[in-house]
Amino acid sequence: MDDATANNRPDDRKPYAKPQIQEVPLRPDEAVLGGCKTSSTSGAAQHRCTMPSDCSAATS
Amino acid sequence: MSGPPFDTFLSIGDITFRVASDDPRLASGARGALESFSADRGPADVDIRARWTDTPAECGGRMIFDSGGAWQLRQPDGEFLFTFRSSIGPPVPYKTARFNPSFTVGDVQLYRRHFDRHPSDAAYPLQYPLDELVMIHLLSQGKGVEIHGCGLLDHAGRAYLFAGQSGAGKSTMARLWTNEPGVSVLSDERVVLRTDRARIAVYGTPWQGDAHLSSPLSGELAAVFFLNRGPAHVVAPTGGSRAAARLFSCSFLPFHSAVAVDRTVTAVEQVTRDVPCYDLWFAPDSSVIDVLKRHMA
Repeated sequence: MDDATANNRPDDRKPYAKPQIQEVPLRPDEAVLGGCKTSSTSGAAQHRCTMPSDCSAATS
Repeated sequence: MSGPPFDTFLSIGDITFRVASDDPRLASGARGALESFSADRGPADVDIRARWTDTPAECGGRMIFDSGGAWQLRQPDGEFLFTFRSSIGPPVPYKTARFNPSFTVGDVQLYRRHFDRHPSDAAYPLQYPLDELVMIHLLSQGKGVEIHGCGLLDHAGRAYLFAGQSGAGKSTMARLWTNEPGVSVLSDERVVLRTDRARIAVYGTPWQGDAHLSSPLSGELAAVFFLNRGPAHVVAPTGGSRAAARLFSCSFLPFHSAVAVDRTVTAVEQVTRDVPCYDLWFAPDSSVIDVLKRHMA
């Protein structure tokens, strides 16, 4: 039996599995380091911020 | 080493930063979480000059990225110019940072009027998000990737990454381990993965989450867990492509650069190929530690 025949034996094939799309969430505001972390937004932790960032001003 | 008389050194992710200035306020010793990341004076990978300005910098050059938030990136004369704005105060950038193409030399200008409220306080020129922006540009040169995740280090030098976006449970997981003997929390918010080593290394960062935990220690990456909240503890292997996608979704990278994105994808693929990856569903109680230990040996 040559290689081509051996590779095509039905028993050796992986069963066909229909491709599936799985969504993985990406949060743009987090991914681009665009904001500060508050109860309503996300990003870096607020305690690291010092003035004049918006979030620290809001809590000062 | 020449230049301004005051300087301070930091080492994060095995990258050394020097911040130098004529004003000691802009180059004072690190404080807070940064303090344990202070480094000895010596050669620096990134040399940054910080200064005050009374004239807001002109924002020349083509804009190549708008974060939609605090910062924008322009490219004048082949260099990179970050501008940072706040809705508090004058409608001009409170800070600009110009870097050479390799991000080894930078010039940070802080608009004095913005900082007049606290004239006696030291101002940190690399204040978020600039510190992380510089880091992700450096890492995307083939050095590795910054990950939104909690890192743990065990007594044998093995490091474990718990990756997840905000609300996934990074700080919760870190708190659960704080009293575990022989375990150090590298960060409850951000870790640096260095893929340019014989074995993938995990570094703690000063960038903390709600648990306020960080460490400059590092270790060899032994496993990745993707965090999910659930009613019970379940650990299940994550398939290769899904693991790569999940890790990429927790990565920070310069999206304006196709080359940087490509290198980051390569780094993420390397991690998920070389290290076991698991999905972890967990309830916030310490019994998850025993469940995890079975996958951490």
